[in-house]
Amino acid sequence: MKTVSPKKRTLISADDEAAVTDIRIAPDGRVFVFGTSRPVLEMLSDLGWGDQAVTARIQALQQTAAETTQQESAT
Amino acid sequence: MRLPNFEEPGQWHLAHCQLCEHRCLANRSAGERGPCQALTEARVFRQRVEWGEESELIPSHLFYLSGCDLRCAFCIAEANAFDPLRGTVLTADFLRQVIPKGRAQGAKNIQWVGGEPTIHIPSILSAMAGIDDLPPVVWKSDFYGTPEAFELLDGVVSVFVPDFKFGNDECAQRIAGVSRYFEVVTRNLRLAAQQADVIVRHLLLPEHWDCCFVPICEWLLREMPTVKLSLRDGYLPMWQARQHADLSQLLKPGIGDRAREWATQLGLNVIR
Repeated sequence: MKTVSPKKRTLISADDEAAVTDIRIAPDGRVFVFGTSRPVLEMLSDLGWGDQAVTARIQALQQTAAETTQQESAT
Repeated sequence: MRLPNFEEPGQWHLAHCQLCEHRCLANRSAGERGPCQALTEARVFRQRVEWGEESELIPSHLFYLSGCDLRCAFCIAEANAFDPLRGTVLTADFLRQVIPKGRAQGAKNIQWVGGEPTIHIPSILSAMAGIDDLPPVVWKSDFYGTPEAFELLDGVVSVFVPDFKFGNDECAQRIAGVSRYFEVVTRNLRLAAQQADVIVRHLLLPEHWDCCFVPICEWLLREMPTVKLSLRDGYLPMWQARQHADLSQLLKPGIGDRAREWATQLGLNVIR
Protein backbone atom coordinates (compact mmCIF):
# COMPACT_ATOMS: atom_id res chain seq x y z
CA MET A 1 0.00 0.00 0.00
CA LYS A 2 1.33 3.43 -0.94
CA THR A 3 1.52 5.67 2.07
CA VAL A 4 1.53 9.40 2.49
CA SER A 5 4.92 10.86 3.35
CA PRO A 6 5.03 12.31 6.86
CA LYS A 7 6.67 15.39 5.34
CA LYS A 8 3.47 16.14 3.48
CA ARG A 9 1.18 15.61 6.43
CA THR A 10 -1.40 18.22 7.10
CA LEU A 11 -0.70 20.31 10.14
CA ILE A 12 -3.86 21.51 11.81
CA SER A 13 -4.05 23.57 14.91
CA ALA A 14 -5.66 22.01 17.93
CA ASP A 15 -7.88 25.03 18.48
CA ASP A 16 -10.96 22.92 19.06
CA GLU A 17 -10.83 20.06 21.53
CA ALA A 18 -14.07 18.76 20.13
CA ALA A 19 -12.25 17.93 16.90
CA VAL A 20 -10.35 15.09 18.56
CA THR A 21 -10.75 11.74 16.82
CA ASP A 22 -12.21 9.11 19.09
CA ILE A 23 -10.54 5.67 18.94
CA ARG A 24 -11.96 2.82 20.99
CA ILE A 25 -10.58 -0.69 21.22
CA ALA A 26 -12.92 -3.54 22.02
CA PRO A 27 -11.79 -6.39 24.31
CA ASP A 28 -11.46 -8.66 21.30
CA GLY A 29 -9.07 -6.23 19.58
CA ARG A 30 -11.41 -4.58 17.15
CA VAL A 31 -10.66 -0.89 16.75
CA PHE A 32 -13.41 1.69 16.28
CA VAL A 33 -12.50 5.10 14.89
CA PHE A 34 -14.99 7.98 15.01
CA GLY A 35 -14.56 11.42 13.51
CA THR A 36 -11.52 10.56 11.43
CA SER A 37 -9.34 13.58 10.71
CA ARG A 38 -6.87 13.69 7.83
CA PRO A 39 -3.79 13.19 10.04
CA VAL A 40 -5.44 10.18 11.68
CA LEU A 41 -6.23 8.73 8.27
CA GLU A 42 -2.62 9.32 7.24
CA MET A 43 -1.48 7.53 10.39
CA LEU A 44 -3.73 4.57 9.60
CA SER A 45 -2.28 4.53 6.12
CA ASP A 46 1.26 4.47 7.52
CA LEU A 47 0.27 1.54 9.71
CA GLY A 48 -0.79 -0.41 6.63
CA TRP A 49 -4.35 -0.73 7.84
CA GLY A 50 -6.03 -3.59 6.01
CA ASP A 51 -9.70 -2.76 6.56
CA GLN A 52 -11.56 -2.16 3.29
CA ALA A 53 -13.43 0.84 4.64
CA VAL A 54 -10.19 2.55 5.60
CA THR A 55 -8.52 1.59 2.32
CA ALA A 56 -11.30 3.26 0.34
CA ARG A 57 -10.85 6.47 2.31
CA ILE A 58 -7.08 6.41 1.97
CA GLN A 59 -7.55 6.19 -1.78
CA ALA A 60 -9.79 9.25 -1.59
CA LEU A 61 -7.12 10.99 0.47
CA GLN A 62 -4.44 10.23 -2.10
CA GLN A 63 -6.71 11.48 -4.87
CA THR A 64 -7.35 14.72 -2.98
CA ALA A 65 -3.63 15.13 -2.34
CA ALA A 66 -2.92 14.67 -6.06
CA GLU A 67 -5.59 17.21 -6.99
CA THR A 68 -4.20 19.71 -4.49
CA THR A 69 -0.71 19.27 -5.95
CA GLN A 70 -2.07 19.85 -9.45
CA GLN A 71 -3.86 23.00 -8.35
CA GLU A 72 -0.74 24.31 -6.62
CA SER A 73 1.31 23.62 -9.75
CA ALA A 74 -1.24 25.42 -11.91
CA THR A 75 -1.07 28.52 -9.76
CA MET B 1 -49.13 22.60 2.09
CA ARG B 2 -48.03 26.21 1.54
CA LEU B 3 -46.54 27.92 4.52
CA PRO B 4 -47.53 31.43 5.56
CA ASN B 5 -45.34 34.07 3.99
CA PHE B 6 -42.93 34.87 6.78
CA GLU B 7 -39.79 36.87 6.13
CA GLU B 8 -37.43 33.93 6.26
CA PRO B 9 -38.09 30.30 5.34
CA GLY B 10 -39.21 28.14 8.22
CA GLN B 11 -39.68 30.90 10.78
CA TRP B 12 -43.38 30.06 11.04
CA HIS B 13 -42.41 26.77 12.67
CA LEU B 14 -40.73 28.55 15.54
CA ALA B 15 -44.17 29.68 16.65
CA HIS B 16 -46.09 26.46 15.81
CA CYS B 17 -43.46 23.81 15.40
CA GLN B 18 -44.26 21.04 12.95
CA LEU B 19 -40.75 20.37 11.72
CA CYS B 20 -40.74 16.77 12.93
CA GLU B 21 -43.51 14.21 13.15
CA HIS B 22 -44.03 14.81 16.84
CA ARG B 23 -45.92 17.89 15.54
CA CYS B 24 -45.81 19.35 19.04
CA LEU B 25 -46.90 22.85 17.91
CA ALA B 26 -44.56 24.35 20.51
CA ASN B 27 -44.17 28.11 20.37
CA ARG B 28 -40.39 27.98 20.56
CA SER B 29 -40.18 31.75 20.10
CA ALA B 30 -42.09 32.15 23.36
CA GLY B 31 -39.90 29.68 25.24
CA GLU B 32 -42.08 26.59 24.85
CA ARG B 33 -40.23 23.35 24.36
CA GLY B 34 -41.38 20.23 22.59
CA PRO B 35 -39.85 16.75 22.84
CA CYS B 36 -36.59 17.98 21.29
CA GLN B 37 -36.27 20.72 23.93
CA ALA B 38 -34.99 23.16 21.28
CA LEU B 39 -35.77 26.85 21.39
CA THR B 40 -35.07 29.20 18.48
CA GLU B 41 -31.28 29.10 18.39
CA ALA B 42 -29.32 26.24 16.86
CA ARG B 43 -26.00 25.46 18.47
CA VAL B 44 -22.97 23.71 17.02
CA PHE B 45 -21.25 21.50 19.58
CA ARG B 46 -18.57 20.28 17.17
CA GLN B 47 -17.39 21.18 13.69
CA ARG B 48 -14.52 19.65 11.80
CA VAL B 49 -13.43 18.20 8.48
CA GLU B 50 -13.83 14.43 8.56
CA TRP B 51 -12.62 11.54 6.41
CA GLY B 52 -14.77 8.76 7.81
CA GLU B 53 -17.88 9.46 5.76
CA GLU B 54 -18.76 7.64 2.56
CA SER B 55 -15.93 7.90 0.00
CA GLU B 56 -17.87 10.12 -2.38
CA LEU B 57 -18.53 12.67 0.36
CA ILE B 58 -15.06 13.07 1.82
CA PRO B 59 -13.46 15.28 2.86
CA SER B 60 -16.62 16.67 4.41
CA HIS B 61 -16.97 19.58 6.82
CA LEU B 62 -19.40 18.36 9.47
CA PHE B 63 -21.45 20.61 11.72
CA TYR B 64 -22.86 18.79 14.74
CA LEU B 65 -25.96 20.48 16.11
CA SER B 66 -27.17 19.80 19.63
CA GLY B 67 -30.80 18.81 20.18
CA CYS B 68 -32.71 15.88 18.72
CA ASP B 69 -36.30 14.74 18.18
CA LEU B 70 -35.43 11.10 18.83
CA ARG B 71 -34.03 9.45 21.95
CA CYS B 72 -32.14 6.48 20.56
CA ALA B 73 -30.85 4.49 23.52
CA PHE B 74 -27.56 3.77 21.75
CA CYS B 75 -26.82 7.37 20.70
CA ILE B 76 -23.07 7.83 20.34
CA ALA B 77 -23.33 11.60 20.81
CA GLU B 78 -25.02 11.02 24.17
CA ALA B 79 -25.75 14.22 26.13
CA ASN B 80 -24.48 16.50 23.34
CA ALA B 81 -27.26 15.23 21.13
CA PHE B 82 -30.05 15.82 23.58
CA ASP B 83 -29.19 19.13 25.22
CA PRO B 84 -29.89 21.87 22.65
CA LEU B 85 -28.15 24.47 24.80
CA ARG B 86 -24.71 22.98 24.19
CA GLY B 87 -22.35 24.59 21.71
CA THR B 88 -21.77 27.79 19.78
CA VAL B 89 -24.79 29.65 18.44
CA LEU B 90 -25.13 29.10 14.70
CA THR B 91 -25.05 32.36 12.77
CA ALA B 92 -23.95 33.53 9.34
CA ASP B 93 -20.91 35.16 10.95
CA PHE B 94 -19.93 31.84 12.51
CA LEU B 95 -20.21 30.09 9.15
CA ARG B 96 -18.21 32.85 7.46
CA GLN B 97 -15.38 32.18 9.90
CA VAL B 98 -15.25 28.40 9.72
CA ILE B 99 -16.26 27.45 6.16
CA PRO B 100 -13.03 28.88 4.66
CA LYS B 101 -11.03 26.86 7.20
CA GLY B 102 -12.81 23.70 6.12
CA ARG B 103 -12.30 24.55 2.49
CA ALA B 104 -8.57 25.07 3.16
CA GLN B 105 -8.47 21.50 4.48
CA GLY B 106 -9.99 20.27 1.25
CA ALA B 107 -13.63 19.96 2.31
CA LYS B 108 -15.83 19.67 -0.75
CA ASN B 109 -19.13 20.08 1.06
CA ILE B 110 -20.67 21.09 4.36
CA GLN B 111 -22.69 18.50 6.18
CA TRP B 112 -25.38 19.12 8.77
CA VAL B 113 -25.59 16.39 11.40
CA GLY B 114 -26.82 16.11 14.95
CA GLY B 115 -28.41 15.58 17.15
CA GLU B 116 -30.84 16.27 14.39
CA PRO B 117 -30.63 19.19 11.95
CA THR B 118 -34.32 19.07 10.96
CA ILE B 119 -35.43 20.70 14.20
CA HIS B 120 -33.09 23.60 13.39
CA ILE B 121 -34.03 24.20 9.75
CA PRO B 122 -35.01 27.87 10.27
CA SER B 123 -31.65 28.71 11.87
CA ILE B 124 -29.66 26.71 9.33
CA LEU B 125 -31.38 28.33 6.36
CA SER B 126 -30.97 31.75 7.89
CA ALA B 127 -27.25 31.22 8.54
CA MET B 128 -26.58 29.75 5.10
CA ALA B 129 -28.45 32.61 3.42
CA GLY B 130 -25.71 34.92 4.60
CA ILE B 131 -22.93 32.98 2.86
CA ASP B 132 -21.66 33.75 -0.62
CA ASP B 133 -20.28 30.79 -2.54
CA LEU B 134 -21.88 28.21 -0.24
CA PRO B 135 -20.40 24.70 -0.70
CA PRO B 136 -22.76 21.85 -1.62
CA VAL B 137 -24.96 20.90 1.32
CA VAL B 138 -25.18 17.36 2.72
CA TRP B 139 -28.09 16.66 5.06
CA LYS B 140 -27.57 13.76 7.48
CA SER B 141 -30.85 13.14 9.25
CA ASP B 142 -32.98 10.65 11.14
CA PHE B 143 -35.67 11.39 8.52
CA TYR B 144 -38.40 11.82 11.10
CA GLY B 145 -39.21 15.24 9.66
CA THR B 146 -42.52 16.38 8.21
CA PRO B 147 -43.22 16.96 4.50
CA GLU B 148 -43.34 20.67 5.37
CA ALA B 149 -39.75 20.43 6.62
CA PHE B 150 -38.63 18.69 3.46
CA GLU B 151 -40.34 21.35 1.39
CA LEU B 152 -38.08 23.91 3.04
CA LEU B 153 -35.03 21.91 1.99
CA ASP B 154 -36.04 21.57 -1.64
CA GLY B 155 -33.33 23.12 -3.80
CA VAL B 156 -31.05 23.61 -0.81
CA VAL B 157 -29.67 20.13 -0.24
CA SER B 158 -27.37 18.34 -2.71
CA VAL B 159 -27.16 15.00 -0.92
CA PHE B 160 -29.46 13.53 1.70
CA VAL B 161 -27.97 10.94 4.07
CA PRO B 162 -30.98 9.40 5.83
CA ASP B 163 -30.16 7.32 8.85
CA PHE B 164 -32.58 4.42 8.37
CA LYS B 165 -32.31 2.94 11.85
CA PHE B 166 -35.19 0.52 12.32
CA GLY B 167 -37.06 -1.90 10.09
CA ASN B 168 -40.28 -1.85 12.09
CA ASP B 169 -42.29 0.32 14.46
CA GLU B 170 -41.85 -1.88 17.53
CA CYS B 171 -38.07 -1.52 17.63
CA ALA B 172 -38.36 2.22 16.94
CA GLN B 173 -40.82 2.72 19.78
CA ARG B 174 -38.85 0.66 22.27
CA ILE B 175 -35.39 2.00 21.43
CA ALA B 176 -36.01 5.55 20.16
CA GLY B 177 -39.41 6.39 21.64
CA VAL B 178 -41.16 7.30 18.39
CA SER B 179 -44.33 6.06 16.76
CA ARG B 180 -45.20 5.46 13.08
CA TYR B 181 -41.47 5.27 12.39
CA PHE B 182 -41.43 3.06 9.31
CA GLU B 183 -44.27 4.90 7.60
CA VAL B 184 -42.69 8.31 8.23
CA VAL B 185 -39.16 7.42 7.19
CA THR B 186 -40.17 5.61 4.02
CA ARG B 187 -42.45 8.50 3.01
CA ASN B 188 -39.55 10.91 3.52
CA LEU B 189 -37.18 8.72 1.55
CA ARG B 190 -39.50 9.04 -1.43
CA LEU B 191 -39.70 12.82 -0.94
CA ALA B 192 -35.93 13.21 -0.65
CA ALA B 193 -35.29 11.14 -3.75
CA GLN B 194 -37.33 13.65 -5.74
CA GLN B 195 -35.18 16.51 -4.46
CA ALA B 196 -31.57 15.36 -4.43
CA ASP B 197 -29.11 12.48 -4.41
CA VAL B 198 -29.67 10.03 -1.54
CA ILE B 199 -27.29 7.79 0.38
CA VAL B 200 -29.23 5.57 2.79
CA ARG B 201 -27.21 4.76 5.86
CA HIS B 202 -28.00 1.87 8.22
CA LEU B 203 -26.11 1.18 11.41
CA LEU B 204 -26.23 -2.53 12.06
CA LEU B 205 -27.49 -3.26 15.56
CA PRO B 206 -26.77 -6.46 17.52
CA GLU B 207 -29.62 -8.97 17.24
CA HIS B 208 -31.55 -6.76 14.79
CA TRP B 209 -30.73 -8.62 11.59
CA ASP B 210 -34.16 -10.13 10.98
CA CYS B 211 -36.31 -7.36 12.43
CA CYS B 212 -34.46 -4.29 11.11
CA PHE B 213 -31.67 -4.97 8.61
CA VAL B 214 -33.58 -7.40 6.40
CA PRO B 215 -36.88 -5.41 6.23
CA ILE B 216 -34.95 -2.24 5.38
CA CYS B 217 -33.10 -3.97 2.56
CA GLU B 218 -36.27 -5.56 1.27
CA TRP B 219 -38.10 -2.23 1.27
CA LEU B 220 -35.25 -0.53 -0.55
CA LEU B 221 -35.12 -3.30 -3.13
CA ARG B 222 -38.84 -2.97 -3.71
CA GLU B 223 -39.18 0.82 -3.66
CA MET B 224 -35.74 2.36 -4.35
CA PRO B 225 -33.68 -0.41 -5.94
CA THR B 226 -30.89 1.81 -7.27
CA VAL B 227 -30.40 3.95 -4.18
CA LYS B 228 -26.95 3.94 -2.62
CA LEU B 229 -26.80 1.97 0.63
CA SER B 230 -24.06 2.44 3.21
CA LEU B 231 -23.95 -0.21 5.93
CA ARG B 232 -22.14 0.82 9.08
CA ASP B 233 -20.76 -1.71 11.53
CA GLY B 234 -19.23 0.54 14.19
CA TYR B 235 -21.92 -0.03 16.79
CA LEU B 236 -20.93 0.58 20.40
CA PRO B 237 -23.29 0.28 23.38
CA MET B 238 -23.29 3.97 24.33
CA TRP B 239 -25.60 6.16 26.42
CA GLN B 240 -28.53 4.06 27.66
CA ALA B 241 -27.91 1.04 25.46
CA ARG B 242 -27.10 -1.14 28.45
CA GLN B 243 -30.69 -0.83 29.60
CA HIS B 244 -31.56 -3.10 26.66
CA ALA B 245 -30.21 -6.64 26.63
CA ASP B 246 -29.94 -6.75 22.86
CA LEU B 247 -28.07 -3.44 22.66
CA SER B 248 -25.63 -4.18 25.48
CA GLN B 249 -23.27 -6.12 23.28
CA LEU B 250 -20.95 -5.48 20.36
CA LEU B 251 -21.73 -6.75 16.90
CA LYS B 252 -20.29 -10.14 16.16
CA PRO B 253 -17.00 -9.94 14.24
CA GLY B 254 -17.51 -10.06 10.49
CA ILE B 255 -21.18 -9.12 10.59
CA GLY B 256 -20.57 -5.95 8.59
CA ASP B 257 -18.96 -7.79 5.69
CA ARG B 258 -21.67 -10.43 5.87
CA ALA B 259 -24.38 -7.76 5.70
CA ARG B 260 -22.74 -5.97 2.77
CA GLU B 261 -22.38 -9.27 0.92
CA TRP B 262 -26.00 -10.22 1.63
CA ALA B 263 -27.36 -6.84 0.50
CA THR B 264 -25.22 -6.88 -2.63
CA GLN B 265 -26.44 -10.36 -3.53
CA LEU B 266 -29.98 -9.15 -2.98
CA GLY B 267 -29.31 -6.60 -5.71
CA LEU B 268 -28.78 -3.41 -3.73
CA ASN B 269 -26.23 -0.73 -4.58
CA VAL B 270 -23.95 -1.05 -1.56
CA ILE B 271 -21.28 1.63 -1.25
CA ARG B 272 -18.51 2.38 1.22
